[in-house]
Amino acid sequence: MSNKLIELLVFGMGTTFLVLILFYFLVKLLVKVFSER
Amino acid sequence: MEQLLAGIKALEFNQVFMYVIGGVLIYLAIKKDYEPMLLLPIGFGAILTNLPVIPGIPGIASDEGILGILRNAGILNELFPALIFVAVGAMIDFTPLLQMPSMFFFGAAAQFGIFMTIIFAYLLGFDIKEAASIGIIGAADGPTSIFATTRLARHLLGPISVAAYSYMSLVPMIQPIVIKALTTKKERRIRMEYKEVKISKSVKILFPIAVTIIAGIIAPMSATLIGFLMFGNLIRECGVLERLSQSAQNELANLVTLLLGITIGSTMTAEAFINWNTIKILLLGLVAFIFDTAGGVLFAKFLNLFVKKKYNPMVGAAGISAFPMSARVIQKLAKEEDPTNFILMQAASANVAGQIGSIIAGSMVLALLS
Repeated sequence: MSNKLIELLVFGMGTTFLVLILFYFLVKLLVKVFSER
Repeated sequence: MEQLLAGIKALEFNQVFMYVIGGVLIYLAIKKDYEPMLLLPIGFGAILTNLPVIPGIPGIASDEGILGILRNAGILNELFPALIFVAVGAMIDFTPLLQMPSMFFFGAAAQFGIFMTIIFAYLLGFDIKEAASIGIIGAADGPTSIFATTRLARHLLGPISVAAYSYMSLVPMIQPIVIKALTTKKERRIRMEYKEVKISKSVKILFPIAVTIIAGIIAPMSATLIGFLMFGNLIRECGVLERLSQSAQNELANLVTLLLGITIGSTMTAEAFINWNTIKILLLGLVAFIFDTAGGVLFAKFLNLFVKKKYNPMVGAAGISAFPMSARVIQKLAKEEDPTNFILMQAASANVAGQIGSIIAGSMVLALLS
């Protein structure tokens, strides 16, 4: 399998996970800081 | 007399075959209710595009014809997909996801089909850019597929769009088979706790802004689609643009969908559509949806090895972008196993996470191949 395909799989899935994990922490933070009173 | 017969003389068998393909799409839209808002205009567009062209008079799908003008103005420069995302953003309520942010993980895992399909497409003989465009059918998100294909492999726009929208309407048939093959009855009966967390208006307003900035910095290619999706959502949540929000959800969505469908149809010329690649693309579209579903389900099972409160693995399958169809399918399956099990909110959360995940994954593919 070409290196480009492996790069696509690893970096593509990896970055998708990374960004969505960041969003997870972003939401946790926003909900904590701006909680409904 | 010669002039009256010019159209008949110019007609080719391939074009007649495309009338049949267009007719099948229209039939599926009307009789089977498969994504009628898109398949009907696509089918009719395919018929219009393949009408015979008389020498000296520009064809309807040529660059001077109305479909060609729409194609150049709306698809090849990515305008229509971006506008569709404003409408989608205005329609989406992110509240369930903000209440259960762990569902973001499934929105990432269920993009697995994109990358597996790229590998399969490459092995079937497509070059890397064509393979990537085909893989993005696995985003289960028509506008993202169109957006990526116009940048990577424009000549495949017709079959890829048809595959993307057709399989989206087949989610209720594809997902249950894959889910049942990968889970036990016991797993499908897992109940998930749902806590009604109050989400403040500030969070709902800050979320689309922060997501745009983060995605724009880490994956700049996603700026168009994420930016417009979140812009639509901000209009919805800000509370002071109710008229614009309604317009985006109704008039804008309807108008762009109408033009998008018929313009995609204009890419379905006989030469571009009738070949083995189209059949391969249709098959690979199925592969993409199967691996998407499998990726979500298997990731949920993997997480269950480490967490106390177990996830119902079916919720992982809802991490694809086909919203809200996938969430409904998952709830229906849960109800089949246990009529008192209610996991719709969790599935809907994973489903909206999939909307974001599919754009990020599609943008990463574009970034890595640019």
